[in-house]
Amino acid sequence: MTCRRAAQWISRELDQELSLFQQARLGFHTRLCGACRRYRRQLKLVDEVVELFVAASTSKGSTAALPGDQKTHLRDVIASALAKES
Amino acid sequence: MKRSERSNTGPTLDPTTWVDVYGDYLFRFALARVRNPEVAEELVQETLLAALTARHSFRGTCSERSWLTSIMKRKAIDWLRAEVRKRVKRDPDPDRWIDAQFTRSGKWKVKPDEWSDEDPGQSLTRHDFRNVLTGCLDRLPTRLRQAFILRHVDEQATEEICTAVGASETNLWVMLHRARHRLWRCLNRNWFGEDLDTTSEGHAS
Repeated sequence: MTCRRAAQWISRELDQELSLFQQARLGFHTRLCGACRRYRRQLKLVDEVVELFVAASTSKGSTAALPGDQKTHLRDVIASALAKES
Repeated sequence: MKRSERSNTGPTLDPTTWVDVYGDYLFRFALARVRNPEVAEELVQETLLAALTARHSFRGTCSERSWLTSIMKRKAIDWLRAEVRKRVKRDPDPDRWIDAQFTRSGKWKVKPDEWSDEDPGQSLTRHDFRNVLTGCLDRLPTRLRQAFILRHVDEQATEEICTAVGASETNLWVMLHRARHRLWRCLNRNWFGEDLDTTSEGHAS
């Protein structure tokens, strides 16, 4: 297995798309290849960091907020839609 | 609450409170994914309007918040699908980032360097790191970025992502590797591998 192929499989592994056989082959390669072992660890870290970042940007800790005028507009839209229904 | 108490009427939703209770949350949710405030605003509006129409089908099997979130996810996918369709221009050489990393025979040209800090939670507390990461995410083509986020943050079904980004399943795994690899490379250059220049010494193959 080439390192290039291993790199592809490392990504697929993160997508949980490797068969058991492929996992074993990848495992065999990375046991012998320090560079791929490191790449594997670091790609996993990339996944984790993006995941945490997106989660944190969505959480209350983030200062981003819906602009006030848009809120007013949306409240009106909802109120008038409800009024039409009743 | 007893089951019998709500079996007749079903759980009730109060749309008049949505903007105040969930407005900012939905906006942040959209913004973190589409990375454009105007688009995020639009998505909030579309989400709330769709929720308004669909509210009688709300069965209370999840919270109001997760219900609204699921509608938002759908809206974000619709947006992506339209966005992908609009863009005729595709990267003519999408593999160049990976190609650059390997020799013709598939060996590492430059081996990955040790990263200075491998605690993502810790890194994220730093403002300058968040800026680097934001920059790296923004540099990814929309299609790759969204595919990556949909898959890994939102855990959307493969089929759905494929339809949204207009890719076959095999192609999706390739795209996700490109996305990861480019993020990896960008973070390596701009953050973790500050002394990258000295890497390949001693590793020459």
